[in-house]
Amino acid sequence: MFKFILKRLLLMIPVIIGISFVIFAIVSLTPGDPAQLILGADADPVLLQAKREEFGLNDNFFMRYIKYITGVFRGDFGKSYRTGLPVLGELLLRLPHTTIIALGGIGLSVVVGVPLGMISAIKQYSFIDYFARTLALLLTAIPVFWLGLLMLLFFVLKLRWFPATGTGSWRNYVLPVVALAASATATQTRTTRSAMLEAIRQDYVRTARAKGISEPKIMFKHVLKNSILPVITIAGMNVGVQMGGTVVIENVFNIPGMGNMLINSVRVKDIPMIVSTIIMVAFFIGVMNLIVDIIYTFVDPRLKTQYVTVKKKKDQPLIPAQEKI
Amino acid sequence: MSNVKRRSQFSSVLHRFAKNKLAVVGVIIFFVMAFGALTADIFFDYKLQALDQNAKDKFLPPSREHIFGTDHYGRDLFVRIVYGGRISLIVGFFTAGFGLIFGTIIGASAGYFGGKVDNILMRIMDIFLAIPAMLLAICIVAALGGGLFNLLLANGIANVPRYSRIVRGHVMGLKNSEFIEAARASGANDKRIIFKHIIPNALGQLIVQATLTMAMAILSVASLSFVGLGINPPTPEWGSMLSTGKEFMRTHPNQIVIPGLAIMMAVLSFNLIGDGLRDALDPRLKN
Repeated sequence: MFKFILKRLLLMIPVIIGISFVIFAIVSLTPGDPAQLILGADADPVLLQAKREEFGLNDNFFMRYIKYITGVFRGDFGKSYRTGLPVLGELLLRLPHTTIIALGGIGLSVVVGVPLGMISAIKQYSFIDYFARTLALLLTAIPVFWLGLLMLLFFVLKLRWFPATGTGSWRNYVLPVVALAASATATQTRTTRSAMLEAIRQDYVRTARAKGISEPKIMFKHVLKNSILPVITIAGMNVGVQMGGTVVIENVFNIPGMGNMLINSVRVKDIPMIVSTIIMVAFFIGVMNLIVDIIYTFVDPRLKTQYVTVKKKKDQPLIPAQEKI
Repeated sequence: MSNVKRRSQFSSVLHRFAKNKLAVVGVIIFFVMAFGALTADIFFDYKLQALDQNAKDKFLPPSREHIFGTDHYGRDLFVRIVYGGRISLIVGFFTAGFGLIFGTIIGASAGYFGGKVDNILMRIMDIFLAIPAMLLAICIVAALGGGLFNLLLANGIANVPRYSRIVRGHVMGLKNSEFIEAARASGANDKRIIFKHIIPNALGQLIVQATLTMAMAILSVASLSFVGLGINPPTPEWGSMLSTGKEFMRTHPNQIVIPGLAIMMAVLSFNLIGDGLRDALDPRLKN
């Protein structure tokens, strides 16, 4: 298992190099001079030249990229063009806000979506099933930022239940997390429902019923356990969507997270900041996917065979298929 | 002779689609939006009603003259919503089209030629897939600047990998099958085999994906415009209308409720159509 985790972490390196190269190229090779954008349209040409020299913009593109990426692997993400401060410090300052919102959103979507999908499947065609399906349909279509605005209007400005801005207490994170969780909850509910419905129709469920096992026990021990894989997969896939959603949600609720910083950096083409933010997000998603893969092995013993090291497999070459049964 | 009415593949799919009530609702919403977008110029004057400021009419409540009321510059919200729908539809169709065309070309070449070509193309696609679509779009907008055309391009590029994966999967699955061999034996070249024999098999899944892409693209452009990286005022775009409307939402909630509802209806309609098509095209659900 340890070897597997290490291997996956090492495999992340080429992905991060690839991602950073693509983003670096997209932002650097297009028209628009960061020095000009920061100093303004009618800046002194001498100052402009000095600024370009400072940012290293006069160098060849590949040289700049290699300088940047070797720095990244040494823990130096460069200096922000906009603020002149080291990028890493700024990122680490903002990372917690984004992490709370994104993980909170995923957590909430699982906590609400999975039970809702389960009930919906167990009581198919009941009132609660129709309710859950309609809710899921509406939640996938609602724009995150609009939901955020409506909640801001209702819970903050009208009812005054939550503070409007700031990040001091947990109360500041409630509305962003709920708003962000909405669409993820919808996909979670739908996936759980359809996976459960498929499992309920299996022969082993009928056998379990025939043996006289109680209905709740059948649902949790037989049905849920067999339909949990797609549910976990969707939760993992939602991570990426959530990271995109935090950008707008942070904007609505004025939270100084990575998304807000990305938007500010984009306006002045702050290349080290933009590329580093994307690297950070990609790394975060990579780690989350790894965690999802590890969870897989706990819920599905069949998948554990993947992580058995080659040496062990060689010990029993005659009956490889039996491991899967 | 059997009396069973025979249907062509297409009409049986259509028949199954029409039986799905939700999907039909989606189609109706889509037609209303498309009708508005196509005929807006006949009923309204774009410059006069959607752009020109008219301070004395600001924040009028909904009335017969202004169905949704007016905004902070006294412009009719209904007219702006209709014109905003035009932008959303353009964005949706263009993004889906861009993804379809380039995704098909990339996916088909990767799957058909295999080996090195496949490896290089798909690794590039993997890199694009590893970046959340929204963040990739933000970066492309950062590089190119805002505006409708760049937004279209950003969303289009962000969606190419999904299509290339679908097409590649179908090509890989079919390229060794017997009917392809037969086609090759009768002298068909690579291009003909890919476009005449393989792509039609992937078409169903591609159409479903295209519908869902339209929904995502509409959401994405609205989000980008909302945070100020997309289409800027005074152009009537739903996301940027929400962004200006939020300044006044406390006193005039209709400024945010209406554009938001418009986005939601548009997204809902494409989602419903997509779901309906998926079910209609699924041979397992035939009855």
